[in-house]
Amino acid sequence: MQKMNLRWIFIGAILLLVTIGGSFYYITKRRLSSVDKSKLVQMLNQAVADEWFSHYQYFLASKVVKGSMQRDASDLFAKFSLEEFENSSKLADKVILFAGVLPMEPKIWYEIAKSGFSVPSDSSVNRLVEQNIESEKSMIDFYQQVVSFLNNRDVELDKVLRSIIEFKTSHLAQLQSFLEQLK
Amino acid sequence: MAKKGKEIVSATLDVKKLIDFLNQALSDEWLAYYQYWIGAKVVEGPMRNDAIAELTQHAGDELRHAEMIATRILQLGGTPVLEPKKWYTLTNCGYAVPSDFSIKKILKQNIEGEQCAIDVYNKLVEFTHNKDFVTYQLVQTILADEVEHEEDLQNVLDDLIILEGSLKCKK
Repeated sequence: MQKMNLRWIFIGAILLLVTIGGSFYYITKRRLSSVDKSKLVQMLNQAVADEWFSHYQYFLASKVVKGSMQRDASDLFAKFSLEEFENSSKLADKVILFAGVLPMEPKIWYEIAKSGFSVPSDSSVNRLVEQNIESEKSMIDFYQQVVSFLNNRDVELDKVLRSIIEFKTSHLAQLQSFLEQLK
Repeated sequence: MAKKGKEIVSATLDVKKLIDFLNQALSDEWLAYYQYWIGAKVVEGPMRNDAIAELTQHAGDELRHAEMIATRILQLGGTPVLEPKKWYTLTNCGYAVPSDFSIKKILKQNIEGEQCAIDVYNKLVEFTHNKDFVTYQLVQTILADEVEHEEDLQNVLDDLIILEGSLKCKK
């Protein structure tokens, strides 16, 4: 009798788990399928292109920067350059997860990027900081558009996007504070 | 700009020409960096993880080379190439779009890229030999890295061919 009860408890537990798992799968799948995936991939690729532009823009800035607090500015730009690269990698992984095709060569960045590339032709520290402040602002705007488009229908991607916005906001704050110190 | 350092180099070789060569190499490094990065993201097939490990490590090495070259360009009073679209006009080795994601194709594409880079740095080593010790040392270091990269990729490709051969035998 006790054996029979245990068996029914076991079967019940299995059924409960299957029901919960199935519902979770159904809800997740339905939520994801309600997003226009090709539009989402397009937006993510735009962001990948912008991150690479930004990676090179900061790389150059860290090298060519001149003026007061040059060493500090160079270190800051170099750090941000690597963070932009890490962002691009996180986004690229998501593009692949959605079966999208990444921008296969750098010339495509020019066709798809939202914020674009600002040539650091003036190497004065003030100008470089200002230039990168503009780029960061533009990218924050774009990421917010992607978050709105996604409308919380993919929790994992939403987390990635919000973490990148956090990075960008922090870059922006640090650059603005740096500019204040230069005055 | 290092005035004395530039003065010493100017006495023995055409600094403008050297800066142009270095900017061509800088463009090559950034294109190779992206080619490796994207290759690591899209590569498909057996031994994929081995390939990803190599491609990712090589991508990081190309970025490190780019850092070294850009620093040297500035020391010589030059300006590193200021925008990505110019990489295409300056590059020696070009960019091979990874349109076929099979591991073999990706490896072969990058082996060709490394072979081209080896030629480029070999010429730079000859150009700077006994004339510019700093650049000479730098390009020699990069040359050694590129030779190692070619070897690493070739080893993965050879292992892959052996694996495929043994699978065919089993059938």
